[in-house]
Amino acid sequence: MKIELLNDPSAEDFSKQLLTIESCMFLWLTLCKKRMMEIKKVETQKRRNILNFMQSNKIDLIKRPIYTKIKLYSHQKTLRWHRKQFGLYGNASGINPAICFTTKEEIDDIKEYEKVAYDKSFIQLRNEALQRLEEEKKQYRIREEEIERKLENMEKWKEQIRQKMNVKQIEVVEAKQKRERLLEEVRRFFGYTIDPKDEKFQIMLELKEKEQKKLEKAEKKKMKEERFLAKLASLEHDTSKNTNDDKEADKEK
Amino acid sequence: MSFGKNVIEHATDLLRVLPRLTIANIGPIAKTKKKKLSRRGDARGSTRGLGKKPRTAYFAVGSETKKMPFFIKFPKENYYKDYMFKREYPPVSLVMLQTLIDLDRVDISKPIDLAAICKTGLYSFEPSERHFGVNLTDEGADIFKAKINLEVQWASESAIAAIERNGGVITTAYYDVRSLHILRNPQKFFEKGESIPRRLNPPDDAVLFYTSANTRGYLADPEQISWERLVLAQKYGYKLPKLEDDPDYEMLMQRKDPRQIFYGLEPGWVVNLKDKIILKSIDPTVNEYFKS
Repeated sequence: MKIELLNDPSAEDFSKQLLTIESCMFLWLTLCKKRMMEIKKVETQKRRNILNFMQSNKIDLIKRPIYTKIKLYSHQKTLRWHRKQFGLYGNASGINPAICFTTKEEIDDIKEYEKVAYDKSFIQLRNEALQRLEEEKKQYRIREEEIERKLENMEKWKEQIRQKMNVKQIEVVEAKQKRERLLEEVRRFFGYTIDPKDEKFQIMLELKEKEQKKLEKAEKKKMKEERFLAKLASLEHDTSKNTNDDKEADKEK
Repeated sequence: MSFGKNVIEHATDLLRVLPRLTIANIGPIAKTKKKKLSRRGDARGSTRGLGKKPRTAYFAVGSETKKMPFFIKFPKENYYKDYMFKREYPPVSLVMLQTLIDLDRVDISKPIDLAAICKTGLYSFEPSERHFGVNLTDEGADIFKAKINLEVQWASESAIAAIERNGGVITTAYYDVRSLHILRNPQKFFEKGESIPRRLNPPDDAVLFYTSANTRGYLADPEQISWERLVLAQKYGYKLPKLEDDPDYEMLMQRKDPRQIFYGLEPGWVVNLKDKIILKSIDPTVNEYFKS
């Protein structure tokens, strides 16, 4: 605009031309000033940039997004880092937010992980848990029934055990009494007090024991004979019975 | 007798031909270089040249020298068996809840969650130490007076009764370890820029607890839950207030889906706190997985 004014034929006055020139000069000066200010800023930043941290990737004193022009380290070339930059700074980071969604590989990994223990539906889980409870209760019931069955026979078994114990006691008592009888007999035989450990006493004891054994054997033989005779008698009785039955059957026919 | 050349003549002939003497051509002086003792007989005896020491019996490193070792000394006690596999629920009493509500640390106009309780800063809870959430205890059941929609990981019967008596609602829900970390510090999770994951199933031990209406499990039948509410009211002797007539009915009915971690946010979405944006994917395979 200002250039046209200079060539304008209507501008007769030299003063007008001067004004336009002044305005041009003014513009030019303001532009120069702006440029100088910009240059100063850059220089001051460079002077402050002692450790080069404005452009470095390691030092991040002031949290700001790192633009993609800077060279990346190996830990910064990962998906995870780029997602984090988007999460921290948003669109100002210059990153495409499509990377934040789960990829197909990640979904496959998740599914494989869930197959181990987390694959079932909620209804299925509940049914399985109830089944487990029921099985526990079943086993408990079975055990209880066993115990009840055994408790019925408890009294019988108690008595049997008592009898066994009594029998043993009785045998022990009888053996003692036998021994005492023998000793008394031997003492009576001698008539005077002798030490039982003496030789004469023990010789007599042996003789008496032998006599007693013979008596016992004779008694046992007698018992055997009696049993045998009883068996024979019972057999004859049975055979006579059978013959009677046969005769009755024949008669009916 | 001269057969051929003289020794001196030999030497001079050689000198003409051989290269110049340098360091590379000279060998070391004898006795300055030691022999390498790499062969069997080079060791100078069983002590290897180090002499006889007063104590020649050196025990193995770490052994306790004829004592009963520490890890065998004490017998096993079965009361601590499998302690590292058991879940812990650090408690929050009803007194504690009432104080949080009275001091405005927790907003009653919205449903109360594990995240809301952790945000107060007064509840210590470490998922890395096998802590699986909040255990609501009875203490303060006679003092409690607040109508809330509460979500908790474990609750006793009388605590449930105390909350329902005042017109509130309680559910018990299970969160797996990853979801617990996310709930505990949601800001940290959203700064990672990942999409929200799905919640996983409860383990076999806990299935019955979270599917039964007695304990207000999140997987239980809602009809059975309403029946159990009546039963509890009769047991503890209070009149069950009607929820439908309540002006806050919508807030009290707000429940999470079993696969949902946050109220109002579904799995598969990406949330950005800086720009305050929610991003949803268009990919059908991704959506298929997250919506199943």
